[in-house]
Amino acid sequence: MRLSLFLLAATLIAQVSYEDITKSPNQNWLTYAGDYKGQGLSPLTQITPENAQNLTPKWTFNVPNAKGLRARPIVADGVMYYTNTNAIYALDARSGRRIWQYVDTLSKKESVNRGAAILGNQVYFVTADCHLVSLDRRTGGVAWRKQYGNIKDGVFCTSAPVAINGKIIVGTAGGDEGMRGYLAALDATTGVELWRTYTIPARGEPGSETWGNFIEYGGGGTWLSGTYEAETNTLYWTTGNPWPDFYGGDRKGDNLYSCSLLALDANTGKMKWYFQFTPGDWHDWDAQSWPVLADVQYEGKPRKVIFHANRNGFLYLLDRVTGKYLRASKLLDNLDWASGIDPKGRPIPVPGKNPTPEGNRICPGVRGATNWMSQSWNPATGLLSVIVLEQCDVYTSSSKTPEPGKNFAGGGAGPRPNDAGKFYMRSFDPLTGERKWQYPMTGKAEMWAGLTGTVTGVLFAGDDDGHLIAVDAKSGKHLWHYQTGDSITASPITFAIDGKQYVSIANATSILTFGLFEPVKSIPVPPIQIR
Amino acid sequence: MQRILLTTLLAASLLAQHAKDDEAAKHPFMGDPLRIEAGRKAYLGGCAGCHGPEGGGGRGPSIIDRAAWHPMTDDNLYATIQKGVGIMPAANLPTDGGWELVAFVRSLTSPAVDVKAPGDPALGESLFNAGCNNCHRIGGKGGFAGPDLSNIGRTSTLPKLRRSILDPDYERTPGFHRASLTLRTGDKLSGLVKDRTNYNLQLQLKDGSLRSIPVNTIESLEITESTTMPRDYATILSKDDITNLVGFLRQQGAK
Repeated sequence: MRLSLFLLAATLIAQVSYEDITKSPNQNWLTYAGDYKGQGLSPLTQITPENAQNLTPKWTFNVPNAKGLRARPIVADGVMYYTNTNAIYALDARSGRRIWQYVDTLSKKESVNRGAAILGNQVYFVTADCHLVSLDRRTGGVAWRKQYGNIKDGVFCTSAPVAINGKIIVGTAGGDEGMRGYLAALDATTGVELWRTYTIPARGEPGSETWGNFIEYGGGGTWLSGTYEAETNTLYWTTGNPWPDFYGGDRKGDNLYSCSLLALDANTGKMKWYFQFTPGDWHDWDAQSWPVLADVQYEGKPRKVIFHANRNGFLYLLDRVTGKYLRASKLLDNLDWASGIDPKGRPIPVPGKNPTPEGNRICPGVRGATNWMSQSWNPATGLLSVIVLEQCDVYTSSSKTPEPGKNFAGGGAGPRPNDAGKFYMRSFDPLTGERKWQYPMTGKAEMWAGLTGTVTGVLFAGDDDGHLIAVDAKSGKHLWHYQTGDSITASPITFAIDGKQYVSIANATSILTFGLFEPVKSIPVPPIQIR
Repeated sequence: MQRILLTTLLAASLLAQHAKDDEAAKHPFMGDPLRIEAGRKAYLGGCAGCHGPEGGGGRGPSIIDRAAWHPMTDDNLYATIQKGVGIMPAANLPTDGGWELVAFVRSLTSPAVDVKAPGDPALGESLFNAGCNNCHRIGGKGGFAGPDLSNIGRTSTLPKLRRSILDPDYERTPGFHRASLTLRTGDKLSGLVKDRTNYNLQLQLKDGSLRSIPVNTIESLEITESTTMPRDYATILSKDDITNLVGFLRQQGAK
């Protein structure tokens, strides 16, 4: 069997087509989320709840100059592409050895980077100063480097691009210091910008009436990759906080389209609908968390829905076609800023739960109930698994006149000493909101690690102590763990080469890859003739 | 929220470094080929004895090792040359002569794309497309047998670029040894060795596709280490041809 798989690998063609990405994940992991729908569920079956205890490390790649890696790898035909700040590496995914690297010496900024995209013979990533770079995935040769944002406008770029049919979709960050967020589509072959959609309206445009001053710097970053429905060519993209983050006195109103989910026509960037989770936010609760696309039976009928676990503490169920609110439930035990969500989908605020000059303890904390960490939806079990943070922060506000680009956020937030938060892996029935199980983590509540599921019922996750762990997806029972030696601020993936399944995750400084234990057989040095 | 995460990264920002580079480019001699050539002549007369004819070091330290002097501003470099440091004697050149030396030393380590060079890039491109592209790629076109040159103007210096054409054996890029191998299955493969350990081989096939091959599946392996790059360009190409080719190649880089 292994032999035939090996021969099959020999016939693979290097091109990665759009159709290939629609079938990801399989043995490959071709887009940041694994799949366009953000379901985070691999069909690989070699690792099971029964044998996960036999996982062992296979290799480690120390990423040069890494300080808190955020990226999730892309894997295509046995080659792994991994990004760090202004740099991308191609690795042999079986051995962990470097094939090529590209370090961008032109970028005028440094920031974290969340990963690459792949299409055709090209691999794409963004520089911190908002250039999309297209490289030949076989050699690392640069085809082009196209600017789609200017750091002088307060934007910088961190997100993994999303490659769809002929287009590369990119986002922007910077909403904590005042900027106008947008996402853009660039032609995959030429890098020409095809469309740009701002998340904050210009003064006078519909939606601008929901702002006061500073709309030009309203924020609404788009720094987490979105999900995509190929059938309707629709992008689902979340937007960040309004600015200034912690003081909304100068921007009374809903502040559209901050803290929202946007459904966009991928051909034009035109908005089909929006849903705002946190109108007029004062807590820096970006909507950056996954919009998971699922087809379910809801109230006895088939329905296209979106699951969205939001930083504001609620787990939402939305109609994917119309954006209509269906229901919401609490992700957290500690949630005190809103008493619930009204029938139209608006939070019902609890008075006195905004930041104050003296400081006000509010739950959840500024990092949110969850965040950009990856999630997993398993249609067979009906469970959505999410990393959540039970934390309450003291939020302070400042009504000082905002100054864009000066590190001013209108206040700040953080936990009191001895009041640190706690991470959990929790599985919910997203149609009822019922919590089915939880896996509590120890640690300092400082990680950004997500999780990935497989159809065999294994969940791989980073934990808050720097372990890669495997948990039974049905029960939350511990199966296996490995200490990676550093904190984890990225999400895992799983892939296969020649029929062998691997799991990879980055800790702060390295990528680590695991597979099932195989007894070591002495490897003879083959007769090598060197000329 | 991102702001909080980035603070430490930003503290080590490259911005300061860029500002330094921008300032360094201010003196009008920097990147000027005539001044660089004049500086080279002066260098061969007074500096090469210790720093090596190509700056690689000898009795004195290498000046191609960018880390050794890169933090210096042009003004510091000028002052060091003119006044000397430690056992290095003072040059005491006229002002222009001193700056010509600075321009030459900078050119040894500056990315080729940042240094002005003579030559007609269009003629150089024609020459490239008349043969070099069988083995080298630029912008997704060309062969795989030699290094992809799409970014060569940023990753190489002008002297290195010229030397790699005239003397390809001097410094070879790793990852281009040719391999022929027979697998235990009887299959035969050939390609370029991108990476090899005692346990795994990463092979690039002729069409550019990459193959990871566990060593324990290999029956026999033959590796040719010598370069396939012709060694006689110095004689079969004219001086102008080479100048034009370098003039074209130095422009290849991310912008």
